[in-house]
Amino acid sequence: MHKWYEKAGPNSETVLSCRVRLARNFADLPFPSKMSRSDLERSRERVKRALSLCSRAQDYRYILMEEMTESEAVSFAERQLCTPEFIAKTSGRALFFTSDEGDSITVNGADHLRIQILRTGNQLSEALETADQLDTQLDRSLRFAFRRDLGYLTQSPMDLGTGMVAGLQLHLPALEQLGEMDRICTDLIGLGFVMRSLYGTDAAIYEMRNRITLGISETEAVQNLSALAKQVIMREKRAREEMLSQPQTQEKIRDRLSTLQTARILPQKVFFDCYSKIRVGIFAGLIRGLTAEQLDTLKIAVQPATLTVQAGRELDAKQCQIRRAQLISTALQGVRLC
Amino acid sequence: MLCQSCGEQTATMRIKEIVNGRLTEYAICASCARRLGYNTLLSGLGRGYGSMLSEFFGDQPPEPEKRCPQCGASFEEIARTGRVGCALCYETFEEELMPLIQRLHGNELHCGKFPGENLPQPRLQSQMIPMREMLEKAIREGNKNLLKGGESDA
Repeated sequence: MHKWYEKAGPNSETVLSCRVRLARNFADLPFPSKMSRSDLERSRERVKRALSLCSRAQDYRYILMEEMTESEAVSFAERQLCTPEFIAKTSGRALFFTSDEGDSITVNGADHLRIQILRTGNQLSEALETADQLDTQLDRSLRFAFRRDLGYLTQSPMDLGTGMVAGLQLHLPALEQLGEMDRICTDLIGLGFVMRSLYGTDAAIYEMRNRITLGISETEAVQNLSALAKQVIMREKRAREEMLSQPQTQEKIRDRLSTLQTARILPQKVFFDCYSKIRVGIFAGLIRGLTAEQLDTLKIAVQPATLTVQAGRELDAKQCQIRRAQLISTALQGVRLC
Repeated sequence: MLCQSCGEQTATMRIKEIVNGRLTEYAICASCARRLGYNTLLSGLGRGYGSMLSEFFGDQPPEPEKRCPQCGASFEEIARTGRVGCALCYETFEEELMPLIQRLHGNELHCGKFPGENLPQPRLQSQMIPMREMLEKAIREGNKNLLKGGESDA
């Protein structure tokens, strides 16, 4: 079974992926920070039972977080199946996810349940529809805490209302190079959105997401996010044309491809710099034999904890860098400049 | 504790990140949280939330002895942690929580999905009109502000 990130998505030149997350809670149990051991178990069992009645029940895998090693738990966060906060405390927490890792439910984290749908490119509407269907099916047996005026009741009053976060992961190397990202991030806050750098400036990957959850419907929030993201994307495309017209940009792309193909030791920071340049090169038609989704799949595979889990043994920093270099140079054999 | 990002302001918020395959925790100030995209209206739940509450209620939390019959939480505990104890707390501490919820969300009412129902269709007359107008204005004016240097296709 292919993972969700191995598939090509719409608008993938600038949109790596999208996600929709719904926070839900039980009316009759304390919220997670006040749950007893038996409450935590009751909550997990309820979700397990309710999920078994859903249409894709057979496709879900169940993970009890306290049975995971630290690397396994961090790898889940690296693969975006959960947040760093979720793995900071594993006791009583559980994770359900489909074999393609696109649909998942975290249990007993910041809320009793958080449904998350991840898709490549901009498929926000499809992600929202899938999240909504799963929520509706679960609600038939779980009866989520809800008030007409406040919407879905959540542990943090910040999430009241829809309990929904919709996000787009954007690749914005040209705007990053122009030094515009700080200003864009600041401007978006005033509009009820958040833009955050995910892997540092070398990668130029940002997540843009909504912040307002009360007084707006899920569909409206997604439409607003898409409309504003479209403007940022237009700006990136224009800046990218300008960037690609400079001879040194094409030289950098050639240089970074050569680095990835020949490196024996590859620190993560160097990888992200190369990744960003090569991704631009793919869409500019400068690279043959490598698709954006293959490169994005590599990006997930070479993150430290995921490398460690794949290796089946603990790797120190140097071993990680060596293994990363080996994996990438093998994957990029046959990739050529046009 | 000083902010681990700017080293100048007092840290009011703890964030967790994955750095080189390890879970790492940082203490940052509210302005760095905003700059780094961690901003929430409640940034710095402990301190920020408490100081926000004290603006409403002074230093004395109201009815400190009142506790939620379902989870046992007191309002002081909710204010200190920024976490509501259970769904019933929203009823038990309605009087105390509503000013805060209004401060966070304005006078908005839920207009999204209801349990068991389909997603509502976008409504032109929704309560999001002021927000939508602001958003559309930003998109229109994006050429000189957010989108400096390019033409809008909106």
